[in-house]
Amino acid sequence: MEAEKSGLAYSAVTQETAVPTRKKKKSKGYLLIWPAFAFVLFFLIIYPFGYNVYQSFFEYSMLTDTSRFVGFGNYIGLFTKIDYLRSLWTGGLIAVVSLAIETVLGLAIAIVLNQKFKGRVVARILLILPLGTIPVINGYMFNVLFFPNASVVDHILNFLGLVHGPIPWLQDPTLARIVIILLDVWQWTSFMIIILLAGLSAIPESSYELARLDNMSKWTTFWRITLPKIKFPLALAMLIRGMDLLKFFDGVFALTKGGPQSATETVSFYIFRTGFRTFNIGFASAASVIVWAIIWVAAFIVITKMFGTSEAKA
Amino acid sequence: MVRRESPAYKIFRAAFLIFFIAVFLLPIWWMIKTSLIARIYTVVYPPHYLPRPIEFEGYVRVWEHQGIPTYYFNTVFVNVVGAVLALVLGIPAAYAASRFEFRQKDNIMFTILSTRFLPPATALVPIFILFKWVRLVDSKWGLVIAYAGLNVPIVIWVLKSFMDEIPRAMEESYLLDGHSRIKSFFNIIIPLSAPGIAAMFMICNFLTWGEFLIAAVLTTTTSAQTLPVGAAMLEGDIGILWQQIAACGVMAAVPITLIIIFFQRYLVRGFSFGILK
Repeated sequence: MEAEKSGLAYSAVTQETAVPTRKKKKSKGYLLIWPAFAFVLFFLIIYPFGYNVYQSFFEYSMLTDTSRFVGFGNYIGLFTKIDYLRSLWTGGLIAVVSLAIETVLGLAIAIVLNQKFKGRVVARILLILPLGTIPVINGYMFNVLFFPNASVVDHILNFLGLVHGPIPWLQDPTLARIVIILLDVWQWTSFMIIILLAGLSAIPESSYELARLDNMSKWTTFWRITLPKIKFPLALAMLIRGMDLLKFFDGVFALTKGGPQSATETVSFYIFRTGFRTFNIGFASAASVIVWAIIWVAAFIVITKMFGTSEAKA
Repeated sequence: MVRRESPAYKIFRAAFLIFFIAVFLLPIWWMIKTSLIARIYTVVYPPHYLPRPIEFEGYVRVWEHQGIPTYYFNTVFVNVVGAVLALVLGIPAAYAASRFEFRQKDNIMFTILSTRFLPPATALVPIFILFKWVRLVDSKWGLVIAYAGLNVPIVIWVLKSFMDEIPRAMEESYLLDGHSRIKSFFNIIIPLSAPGIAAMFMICNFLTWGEFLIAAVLTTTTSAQTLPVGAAMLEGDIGILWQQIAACGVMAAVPITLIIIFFQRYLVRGFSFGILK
């Protein structure tokens, strides 16, 4: 990262110019930021990454505490056995679909909640309640909601006459993926609502003068005025949510255990399974190294695109 | 929007909201309902939408037999102490980021932020090995350190945004009166950013309260296991104890729901690293 304008949205946070600095001040800044930075750098980056890189060249057994150098064997193994690549694909698919639904739905609900009507405070609170629940326990609750032959969702759909008979939600690979996506959408759309609502409520009333004078339709107003004004919070929320979706684990653990036929095995679940269930540390480490590489590249591209070119206005 | 809303639109809006509120609340209602009925009625077809007859068996069992009070205490302990540790490390760093210029500042801040995006699963094997070596596996302190690590980046970024809003002039005049930087930090900055610090403390608790993966890997016995892990332990050989898991879920959700209702204003900041207000 070149320290030109790409320094993550500083312009967004402060509009001030940097204070003229003296030599003495520099050391003070370092002194204060150093403990936290060292902790983060060592504990979360250097050590885990270094360990993963090192361990990815060995075949290590936790049980016997022996390790054997295998070169790129683990990496070759990952790409020749299908399940790692499949977990990347599955995780990516679940992430893209969930993110798309959460964004559209979150935006729609946020626009409605931003209007003035009776009971909107209550509606706001009710619509962010899913955030207060525990992800892993939600996974178990969705298990009850989609229970084979005793599913609440089936009952509701049958009652509405939309389907007839039971649906094999958790036995069918495609349907299981849909249930996993629903779980994530249910829990995290609220996150989008909160951020987008903040963005929408920050738009001054005067921005809509032009729309009134021109007698624009609601639709045109949205595309021409509202959307450009919330572009930045929208992009930021999508970035954060997208990155978080790559960590998707709890729901998978509680609801499907990666099944049926590995249809819902995300990358996090794959690493957990190889590292802590089958104790294949070499594979888990190599898989982690690849994930880090993907995320760093993706984050670098997205962040330079987002903050490097456009003047961020929060 | 100031324009007149047609009656048709008002009806549409009401229907839209009622539909989504119903969808959003169904799983929550199901959790509450499941926690309040006898185990034989947890999974039946057609489902019972109301808890009849009401039974507190689920709560009684988790409270008496499953070590839930211990899980609860552990959860509160690791989250509160972890949040305090994150604040102790993060406040000075946020102050430095807000007030000083130093070399590579942007890169340092970006690096700190980037950790927020790395999936915990990828760092778990290394951290498990490290903790095994320093005897921190199955210890509350191990989780405290891990949760502080998760929260420090967010604390630094959000508190920096709070401190940026404190006028520089206040500090400068205080310094001109001959006080030291340290004194101004404690007498000006800390009191003025107290609301932000309090909110951040709550947000940290909110963010790690329901964390499952790290807690599940780094703990092995009730001495350090947290509520989400304790709930997952109820999936045993005799089947899954739905009502007890639901009871855990309700008890775990209460404090965190209060936090999101009362700290709504600060959630946006916590979610967006202080970039959005």
